[in-house]
Amino acid sequence: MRRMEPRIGLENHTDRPPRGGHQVSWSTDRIAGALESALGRAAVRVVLDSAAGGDSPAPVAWTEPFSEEEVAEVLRLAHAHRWTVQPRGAGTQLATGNLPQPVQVVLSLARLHRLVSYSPADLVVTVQAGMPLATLAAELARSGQMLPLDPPVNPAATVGGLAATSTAGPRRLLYGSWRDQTIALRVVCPGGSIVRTGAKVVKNVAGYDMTKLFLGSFGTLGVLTEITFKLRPLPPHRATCVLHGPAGAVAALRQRLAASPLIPSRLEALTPAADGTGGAWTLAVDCDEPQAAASRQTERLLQWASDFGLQALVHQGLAADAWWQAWQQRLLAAPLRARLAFPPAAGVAVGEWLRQDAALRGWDIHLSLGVGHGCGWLTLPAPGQTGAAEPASAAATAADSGEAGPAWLAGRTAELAEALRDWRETLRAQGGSLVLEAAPRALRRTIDSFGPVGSSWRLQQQIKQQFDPYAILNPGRFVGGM
Amino acid sequence: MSGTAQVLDARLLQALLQTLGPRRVLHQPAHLHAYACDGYVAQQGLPRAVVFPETTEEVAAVVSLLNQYDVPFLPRGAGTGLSGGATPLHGEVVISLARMNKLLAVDLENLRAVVQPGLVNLWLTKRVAHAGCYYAPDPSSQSVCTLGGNLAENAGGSHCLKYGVTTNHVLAAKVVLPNGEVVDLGATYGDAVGYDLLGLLVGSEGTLGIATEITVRLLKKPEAVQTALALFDRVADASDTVSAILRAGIVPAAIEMMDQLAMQAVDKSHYHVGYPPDAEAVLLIEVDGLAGGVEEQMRRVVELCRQHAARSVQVAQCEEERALWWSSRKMAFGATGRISPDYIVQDGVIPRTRLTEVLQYIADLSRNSGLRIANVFHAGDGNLHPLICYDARIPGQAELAAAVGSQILRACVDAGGSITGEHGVGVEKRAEMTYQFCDADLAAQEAVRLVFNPRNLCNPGKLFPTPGRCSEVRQSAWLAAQFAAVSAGFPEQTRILAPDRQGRQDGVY
Repeated sequence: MRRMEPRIGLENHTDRPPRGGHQVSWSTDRIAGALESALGRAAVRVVLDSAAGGDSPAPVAWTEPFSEEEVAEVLRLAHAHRWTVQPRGAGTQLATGNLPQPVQVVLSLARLHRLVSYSPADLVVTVQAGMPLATLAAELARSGQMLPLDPPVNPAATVGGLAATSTAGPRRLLYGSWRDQTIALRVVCPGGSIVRTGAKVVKNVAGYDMTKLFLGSFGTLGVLTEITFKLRPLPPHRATCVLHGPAGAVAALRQRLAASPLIPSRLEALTPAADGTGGAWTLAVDCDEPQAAASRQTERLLQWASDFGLQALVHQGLAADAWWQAWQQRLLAAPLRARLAFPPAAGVAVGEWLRQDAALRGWDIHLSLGVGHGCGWLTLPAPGQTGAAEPASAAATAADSGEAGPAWLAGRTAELAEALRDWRETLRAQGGSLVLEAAPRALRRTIDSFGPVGSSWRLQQQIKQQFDPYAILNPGRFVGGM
Repeated sequence: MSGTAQVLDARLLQALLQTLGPRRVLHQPAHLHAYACDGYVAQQGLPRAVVFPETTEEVAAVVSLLNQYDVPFLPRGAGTGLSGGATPLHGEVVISLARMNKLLAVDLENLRAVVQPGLVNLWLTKRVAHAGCYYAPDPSSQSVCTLGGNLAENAGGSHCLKYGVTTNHVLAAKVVLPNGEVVDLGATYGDAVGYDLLGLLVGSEGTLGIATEITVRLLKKPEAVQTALALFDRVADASDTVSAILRAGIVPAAIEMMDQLAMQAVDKSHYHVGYPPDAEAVLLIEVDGLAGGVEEQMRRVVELCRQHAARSVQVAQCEEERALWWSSRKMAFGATGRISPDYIVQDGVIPRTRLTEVLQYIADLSRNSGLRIANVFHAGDGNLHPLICYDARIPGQAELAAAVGSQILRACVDAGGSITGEHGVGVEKRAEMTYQFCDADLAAQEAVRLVFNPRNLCNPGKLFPTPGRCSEVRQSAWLAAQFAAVSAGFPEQTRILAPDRQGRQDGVY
């Protein structure tokens, strides 16, 4: 059998580790010094960072490269000297994934935030990884186009960070996820080699589809520097149909909708009801079809709502945007958020079961379930938290790092972990999953954020070994502690 | 040496026969000819044997056996691939998935189906049509090609402009890895935990493993569909219309284009539309969605065609008319056989806005080389299919056609595109891989292959460029010498396996 040589990591490997071995001897100051002499003072500083893996703020060498070449230089040095590195966009997704081991270097993509190229007539855009998704959305909207990804995230969140964590939103129903919209990448791998994947055209099968490998890899294989998306026209008309009522009626309407030719672009079932206006569930339905068709869809929904005895409200234009904005705020404000996958037709039933089981265990969970495509969220609001609040920031998440967890968890960490594990098993048995997107550190110490990998574990490990043989990138953060 | 190989092959054959029984193992040269190539016929080679497993366990058992004997192998669906991905060039054992053609499960409520790899693409749609559902990716060969082959090639089709390609519709798969291990990749709902290995498998051209159970997404049929046929005096006007439609915020389900030569070819076939001989291009434009919205969009499409100097625009008035137009498009490759004894199909992709300029370049190439080139393609995706017509009986024409094809692919890459949009690299476009990708890009892909297929027994010599071409020729000459002993008494089999001086193995075909 041929020996497996790590192919990627050893590219450009010219630096030798310092005498006396590579593991010890590199203090943060020395690392910063080495980076500084390579990149120049403006790109490096030593800071106390609370999100770089430690339980308390610890000094890290913080680098903010000005170019992809500098990113490559950082990873070349880090690979050669075995420094551990956390790639970072805006830091909005740091509560996602397993608790990382402490790292020595934070590699910020904040300065790589340019629009590289945009051709509206091709419906293709290329941006640097550090551009906030909201900035990109605004840019595209000026040309009447959109990247149809609407993850519930802080507006500062960067396209690179979101692609790396592959966080999708309700529009996944009609447009798919990051893996469906991303057509090309530039990635810097440990050792400093720059890898291009895909092509800046909407169809391409040349070689392996390497783009897919890096999306959702949590920065454990390489650092994304540039991303190319295919785009869609902005829907000409925005309306959100919001229906309230009991579980049975919502499930019945969902079934009628599924059997009809209607084309919802978002179909989100919420419990408890979002607006607190009556009934246990809310069903929010969007349509991105041309105006005439969208109006007809709304008419039919209103008719069915009255058939099933649901209260109905239609939000148009900016009001529709505001409704989804409030929806996002509620999700982000919760100190515990888990991403669920489940059979969409059983969504409401699964939700009812989860709510009841949680209630029996003494937890008041909230759910937002994409009952058209089978992805959604379970949140646990802190007691006393109602409606919109400030998003739980990385700093707030870090502040609850005590052994017992934050006050609201009241020492019930183990109990909650057990409940999450049981729910995860129930969903897995139906072909779904439960992945923690945000949780207090105490809880993340107790439960794996992702759950079992399954039969592909050997392949997963070997992929990591090939691309990052010294495990310098985001150690511990990904599945199975990779 | 060859004596050892003979004993080894005889023992392997016995083991295969024992595993699958005599009716599911082909090993007589006369039976192997049908498996010497796929839809790409320029290079051929006889397989060592062809086997027909019926279960995941049998595939795994065969693969384990072949590992034990250190014999290369490759999976094969219907053999409709157009880049030589299923062509045995190293005496492979062909693992045909043709008998694994069952629809294992359908969940209409959740819009999922689980299929075996040998199920024909169109049959899946037929089996769920009663419920108003269909499987979206629709390669032109959909009435014969298999879903396993579609997965291996990441097949496209005419409607991927709006609905995406195979990778957007395959959700999970049970896979026999090249070492015989069985793993589950992907997830029926949501995202699989861990790296997206299913995303790597789809489009890996049979080099990373063999999918034996595939979970796909089904779609509901749209409420309304309208199809327009627009004729243009000038190719440039047709190209501009494509950009104008997309720029206007309309995403049609499909925008297909055929040029003059292609129109002439299909009009000579069974699917006669009656295209005017002096029109330079035809666009087939389909919009679908909710009733009401479709009419609104089609009105705008017709308007845009007229604004761009369309000679005529017709909207199909009945299903028969629409079906005829589509058949005329989908059968265009085959119809090219009526105007030329031989042709090469290319598959480059370019940004849609550069259609006019690249089509002009192709026209110039045609004029300069003296070879006719018909264009039939997915204009909405920028996915070109130049059909380079030649006559293999004229010395040098085949080589000239190949050279012209290669130049077109390079022009596509230069325009910011790709060497292949849906047909795959296979053996055909290995050389052009180095034009599109640099060493670091290819090293990353090689790293993936090393994880899945470290011994390189699973479809060797495909997809990757072959820098060591000389050594490969030597190796296959060695293989042929070994195999000659086994096939003593079958001189033609020996001849086909022996590469000629150029390293080609097209021998007697």
